[in-house]
Amino acid sequence: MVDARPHRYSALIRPMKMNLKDIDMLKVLSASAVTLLVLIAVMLLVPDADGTNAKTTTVIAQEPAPQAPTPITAPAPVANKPAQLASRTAVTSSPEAVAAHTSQAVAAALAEVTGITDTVAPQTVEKTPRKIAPTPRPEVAAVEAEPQVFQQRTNAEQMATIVELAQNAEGDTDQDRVRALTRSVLADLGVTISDEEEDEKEEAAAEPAPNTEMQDMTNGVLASLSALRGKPEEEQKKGLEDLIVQSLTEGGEEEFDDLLRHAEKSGMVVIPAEMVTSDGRVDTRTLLASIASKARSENAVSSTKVTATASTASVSSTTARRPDIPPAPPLGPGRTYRVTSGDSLAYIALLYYGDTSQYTRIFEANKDTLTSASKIQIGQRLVIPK
Amino acid sequence: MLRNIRSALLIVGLCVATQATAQDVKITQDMGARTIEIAGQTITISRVQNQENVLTGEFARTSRACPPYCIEPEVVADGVQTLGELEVMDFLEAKVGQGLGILVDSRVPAWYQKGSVPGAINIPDSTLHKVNPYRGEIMKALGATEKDGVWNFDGAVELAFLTHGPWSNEASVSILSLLDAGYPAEKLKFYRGGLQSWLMLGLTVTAP
Repeated sequence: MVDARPHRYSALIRPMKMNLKDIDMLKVLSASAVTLLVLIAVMLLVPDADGTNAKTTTVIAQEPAPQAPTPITAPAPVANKPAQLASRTAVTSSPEAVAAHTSQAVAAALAEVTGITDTVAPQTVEKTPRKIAPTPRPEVAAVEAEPQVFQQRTNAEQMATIVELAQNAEGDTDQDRVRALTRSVLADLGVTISDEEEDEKEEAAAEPAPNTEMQDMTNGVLASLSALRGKPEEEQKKGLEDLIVQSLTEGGEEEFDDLLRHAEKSGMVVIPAEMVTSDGRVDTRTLLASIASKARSENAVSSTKVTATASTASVSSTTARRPDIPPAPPLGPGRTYRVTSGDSLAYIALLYYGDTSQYTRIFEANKDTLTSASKIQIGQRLVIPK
Repeated sequence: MLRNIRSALLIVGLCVATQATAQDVKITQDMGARTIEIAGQTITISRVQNQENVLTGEFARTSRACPPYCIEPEVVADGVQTLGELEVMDFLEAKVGQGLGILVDSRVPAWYQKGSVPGAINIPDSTLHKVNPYRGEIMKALGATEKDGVWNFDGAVELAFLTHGPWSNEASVSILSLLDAGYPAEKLKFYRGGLQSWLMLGLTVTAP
């Protein structure tokens, strides 16, 4: 112990004792190091004088290690999407809020998949030019006329179109489309995953090299926010999303249902109760119909870009009534609805309110007969509140 | 050894002194301390009981170069409420405690680490500026959602901002950045007094 002391202190003090000779030596060394660096830099720069050098730096900026330990990575190419998804920060929001918010992404995603791109507002298409190469730039004038086409399709046809497109998917680009659709499906399920990150990455790529300090600080902020607001359930969301992508790519409605059911049994995902039918299956029909109706209602909104969300929500809820959903069956005395095979609470909500998220109203009104939103019985009479 | 004993005695002495005068410096006439539960943790806010206590160091300084350290307005923007210390405590209890709001310390991390208002979390003003390519992540974590470049703040939490004091602009810069992004003014609050006022009143400061 006593012996160790002189050592420790001498180690600390020694640098201060550095004499003139040492300092001179340092100067010489650093000067030669700088010279060397300058030489290397010049050698590297000269062959690239034709402009290729600029490209090189951009690429470096865009390609961080995909396995980077930080939750946020610098702008990454689309191929890194799974990694991005894993790192995505989830947002806690009420079902109503989700319903109000999802519409635009749903519109964009569905339009991409079904090919009815001209019903989408111009800015949506502009953002994804590399995905839909042959699509002509849409005219704003076409926005009004187009929804008709969409209305005439039945749910089954829509499903078929989506599945077909998904099956024809080739390479990453189409996988992206399915992924985009999936994201909107998930959004409908109350799981908010937006496209926004990607757009931001693109914006960031256009800017000078990403600031790692900013990344670190942002990560710090996100960590403390998640500590305060609860951890996002990333794993579950990713699992569900991947499943839907897989099933839409590989199979049809039944496989989709089976896959989801199987996943639920094994505890991988949770299927919202209101999307379970009286037959105990997943109500893909309603899922897709609600996406479609939102997609359409979004057209009405997106031509005038609305920032005020209250107005977005009100427009959505009124226009969403226009059906590709069949007209609601007449209500029984005292406004009741008789459950038939294949109905889910979300479907009935869609019929009468034009919005799947309104199922809570029906559920509340029938609380004494319903133990769970997934437990509706064929033949059961449900009160439909006004 | 002798020093250890001395400091131990000092601590004991301090404790006794604090206990003896425990309620001489209350927050308000009826409130000695305020206990608030936030995310499963209990924080207690009270005041320094030593009536001889004065501020020293950075927070006792009267003058800094302006710019950048200029006097902030009482109202930073239309519709953004300005809070005093009691309102900050109310905000902590009614909003932060319920998961509906966040008290934000807008200073750089180094300063936040030295101590802040209990329950405040650190969101440096620069991270909320539009030049931060990752700002969207933070806005999402705050409950906002985005579709095609349009942000929706229906689910966004209420935010109350503070910084060093009325002589520093991190809080108002943050507020203006968020307003610019579309964050509703009624969801933003401004604690103008900041750390300076908080410390000046001898209120509890905690380091994360």
